[in-house]
Amino acid sequence: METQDKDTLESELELVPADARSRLVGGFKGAPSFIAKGFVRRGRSLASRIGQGVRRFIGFFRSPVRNTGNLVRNARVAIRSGAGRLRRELDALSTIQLIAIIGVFTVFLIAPILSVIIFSFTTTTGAFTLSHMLDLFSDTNIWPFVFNSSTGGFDFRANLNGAAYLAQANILAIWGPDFGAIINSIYVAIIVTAVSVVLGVFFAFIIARYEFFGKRIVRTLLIFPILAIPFVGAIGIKVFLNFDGFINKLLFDTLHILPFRIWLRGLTAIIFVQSFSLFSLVYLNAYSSFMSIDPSLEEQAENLGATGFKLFRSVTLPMAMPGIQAGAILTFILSIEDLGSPIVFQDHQSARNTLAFQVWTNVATQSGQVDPKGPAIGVLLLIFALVGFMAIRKYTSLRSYDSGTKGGQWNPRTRRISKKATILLYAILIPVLFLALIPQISVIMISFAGSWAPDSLFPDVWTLSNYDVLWALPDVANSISITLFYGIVATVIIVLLGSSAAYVIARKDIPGKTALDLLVTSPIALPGIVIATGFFTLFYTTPIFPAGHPAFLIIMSYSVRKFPFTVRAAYAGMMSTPVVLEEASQNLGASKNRTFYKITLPLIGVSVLAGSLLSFVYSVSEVSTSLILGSVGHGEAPMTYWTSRVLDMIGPYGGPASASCLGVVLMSMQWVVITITNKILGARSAAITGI
Amino acid sequence: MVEIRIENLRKTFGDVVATDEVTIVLEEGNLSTLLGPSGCGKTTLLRLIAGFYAPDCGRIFFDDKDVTDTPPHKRNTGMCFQNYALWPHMSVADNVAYGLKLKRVKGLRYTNSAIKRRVDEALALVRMGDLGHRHIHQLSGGQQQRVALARALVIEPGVLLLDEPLSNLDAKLRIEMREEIIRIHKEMSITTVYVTHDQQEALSISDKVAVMDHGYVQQFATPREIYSDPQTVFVADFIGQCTFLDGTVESIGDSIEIQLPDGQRIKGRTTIDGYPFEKGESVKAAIRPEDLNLEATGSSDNEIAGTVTRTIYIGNALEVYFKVGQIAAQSLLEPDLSIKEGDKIFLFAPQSEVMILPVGGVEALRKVPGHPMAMSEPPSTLSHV
Repeated sequence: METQDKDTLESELELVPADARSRLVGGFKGAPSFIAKGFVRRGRSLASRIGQGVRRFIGFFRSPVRNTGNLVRNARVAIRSGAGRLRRELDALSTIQLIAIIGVFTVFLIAPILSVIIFSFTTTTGAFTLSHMLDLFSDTNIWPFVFNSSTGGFDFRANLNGAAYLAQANILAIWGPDFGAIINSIYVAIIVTAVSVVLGVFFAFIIARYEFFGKRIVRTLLIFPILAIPFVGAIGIKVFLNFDGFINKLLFDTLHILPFRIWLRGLTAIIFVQSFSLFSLVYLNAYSSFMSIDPSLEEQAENLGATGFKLFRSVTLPMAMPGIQAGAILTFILSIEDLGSPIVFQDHQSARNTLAFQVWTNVATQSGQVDPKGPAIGVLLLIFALVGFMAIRKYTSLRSYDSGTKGGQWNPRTRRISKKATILLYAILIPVLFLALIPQISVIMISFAGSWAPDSLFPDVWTLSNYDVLWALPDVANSISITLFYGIVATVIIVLLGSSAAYVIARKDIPGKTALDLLVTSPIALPGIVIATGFFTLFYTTPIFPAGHPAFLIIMSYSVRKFPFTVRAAYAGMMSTPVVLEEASQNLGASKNRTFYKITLPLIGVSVLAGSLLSFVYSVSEVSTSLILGSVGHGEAPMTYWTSRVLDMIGPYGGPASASCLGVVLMSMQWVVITITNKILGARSAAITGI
Repeated sequence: MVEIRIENLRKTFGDVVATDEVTIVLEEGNLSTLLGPSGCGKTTLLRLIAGFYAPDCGRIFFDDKDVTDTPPHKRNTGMCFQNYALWPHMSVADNVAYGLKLKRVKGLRYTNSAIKRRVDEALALVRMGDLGHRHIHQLSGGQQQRVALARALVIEPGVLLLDEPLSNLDAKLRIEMREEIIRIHKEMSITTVYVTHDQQEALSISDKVAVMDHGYVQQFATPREIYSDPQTVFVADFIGQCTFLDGTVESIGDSIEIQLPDGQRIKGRTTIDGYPFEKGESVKAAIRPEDLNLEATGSSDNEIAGTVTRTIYIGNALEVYFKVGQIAAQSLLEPDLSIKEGDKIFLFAPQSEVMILPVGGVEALRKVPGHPMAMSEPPSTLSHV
């Protein structure tokens, strides 16, 4: 080789010095790795010192008891091989990124949550107490079975009366029985989940297996309900569902189908709003699952004589079950955590008796003072969220086997249905889609409505003047630009850290990978109000959260909470890119970093783009942390906070019409993004839900 | 040119041992094949050589340089992946040029014109000269195979690694590409490691073949030796066809005499130099179908009696299946014989063609002084990593 090289050098002018430009670039590239090497070296020496310590520790213990010795020796082997794997898999750059990811998540996710837990179990002097938790169970707004010291038993204090007929106005008002926040939230979530699963699976199956006119439009429309979860939409729904709302005008006054007006209030209204928004979660996950079933599995079943419903029940549904279950559990969690709908329907007591609302009223006080009750309820929310999240991960990990078969032609099993069946299908689709899209439709309608006579179906006057709110109120105008700023900064952070997190999870073999995976995807389930509460208990009046200036924490909370969308999308992209493409590059002499930039990123680029767009829209439409953090610094509060303020304000720029205009701005942004993302992700669209 | 020396290599995945106690030397300029059924550890061994896996223990040397801890991109190997792994976002020429753009010779890089010339040469070598501008999805399977080969060769690697390169091609193309690989290997005389499960492919192109099973190299030798002197029952069975007769050793002399369960005695030779046979040891006598004849070639020939169970006429020969006691056996006889089911037949096998093999597989080879397996420590438990 040596002499050959020399010959090459002399005989041909093929080789030139790597030129100045590339050397300069190399220098720049080298700098971070130089800095990082220090970290890595220190990390390694730390690891080896830990290893030594463990070894010495073992030396002490091994001789007395042989079994423990063996046990510890195995642990030592594990640690040593773990450290070895770390050294081999991580180069300088990924080490820095990994440290940054873990750092950000520790400070802005784990620490606040721990602080909430500690706060709810300590007195003002710092001693351990259960009294905050126990207090919850003596509050009839939260728990119906109250201990009665005179009788020694439990009194059941619930408002079982769930509906009333107002005879003079011919209105049937339904709000649902009120058992206190804990039971209310659970039963609302159960009903919402059941409705969502039925609707979601039905639509997913239709879209995944049938070909019909207008399918592409329906496919996109079905994702819209998930957007504006469900705060802005609830404004519109409220106006629509009122006793003098659009539905009643249509069905009672105009079409005379109903014998009386129906007025959905309180919990019933929440169930209605959440069901028709969250079913998209189940739809997206079920759709992805149906699409990833190897067609030959169904063909085999057909070949053995299973058709129609038998085929669906025995093969298709079981194969799709992990995805459906994951979607269902996510629906359950998000229903319990939803803060937007209870706020919109808070005019009825039963809506105030929900877990999320109770946290909010006890934390988001103007003074910044936190009532211990808030964090205590937050802990309850957290328990639901964590249990649910672990269940989701169990099901989604099951999902990984469904694309395991290889070979053969992958012809998707879609069938074109007849004209008659198409008409029948639309007869079901249109009403459901209408109900599901009420939030969007109504918000748009209200935003353009001028005067609206009580008995007319549509507004008397269409106007653009409602949109004046966007610039007439300086705070609102400011909040729009500030929200975009928050969203962009958060998205940049998410992309920088998220794509490398996905890379580590998908491609590297390091110890603790599963834990990292859990950590960066958990924000999808962790309640935003609990995190925001933690920001108060932990950071309030410290330099990163000075009184009245929540901007920095808002950005960080967006970054952490919307992180899973980018990670999941990038991960999905990585999974569909064979690892040999990267190995081929390494084999030809490209380092791991170069391979990442030259091969991996171009191949998964669109997936990362889709994920970052999702993270962005979810950031700008984020509700729970925005409301809580915004309440202490109006000047830096984001758009969603001002939407809720505008809704409550009285005056020329207050009320539903103006709030709807802000909603429309948000929604148009979301529609554009979601349409693009859906197109990019295709069958992998479950990533839109973050799981 | 590079000589690859592998010493006592072992790789496990969890509790599964993928490859173990591999000690072989792949000589420079040779084309060596790793041959075995699926799951035998041959691809694992190849990826260990490429550096995509780190071994649990053992070393790998390229010439005298220990590359065990060298990352894949610094090993200067050119690898062809089973599914080619061509980057779909680059053209054919870009795929091939990729490695050259990264290559540094004593800190110097190739000029653009040099890269272009070498890419053209490499594509011409695999007869893809005029397709450089194409996109990957515009190529057929065979063409993709050629591009992958060109991409691996263009960087002038010290070692060429081929992972079942022909398995995705149709039968005709496979033979064509096989010739192509032999031609290119002759032209470049580059140390090549070739993974395959096709024994015919292995025998026809290799300088040396490593037959693998259950993670162990059962035998590493030339194709001729592999066929004529198999070291284990597995090798005799996997390469070509064989009838195995169980027996116990009766006497050991110039030849080894064994007794079959039905009382017949046959004599044969050992294929393992230095293996210490013992009296009473269970062994298998392996006989190739074409070595069983109807007439004796000499007085010392073994005579084997059996009952015909089935005959198949295959044109140039007659396949006769028969039973020796309970053991199924097979022979290849003259095509125009009139043998039929139920007939008693007497066949003759020269002593030199009856191979007496110990039953222990690779474990038995540990008893052979000087054999690599005898040198290495047998694994006790997995925890001695």
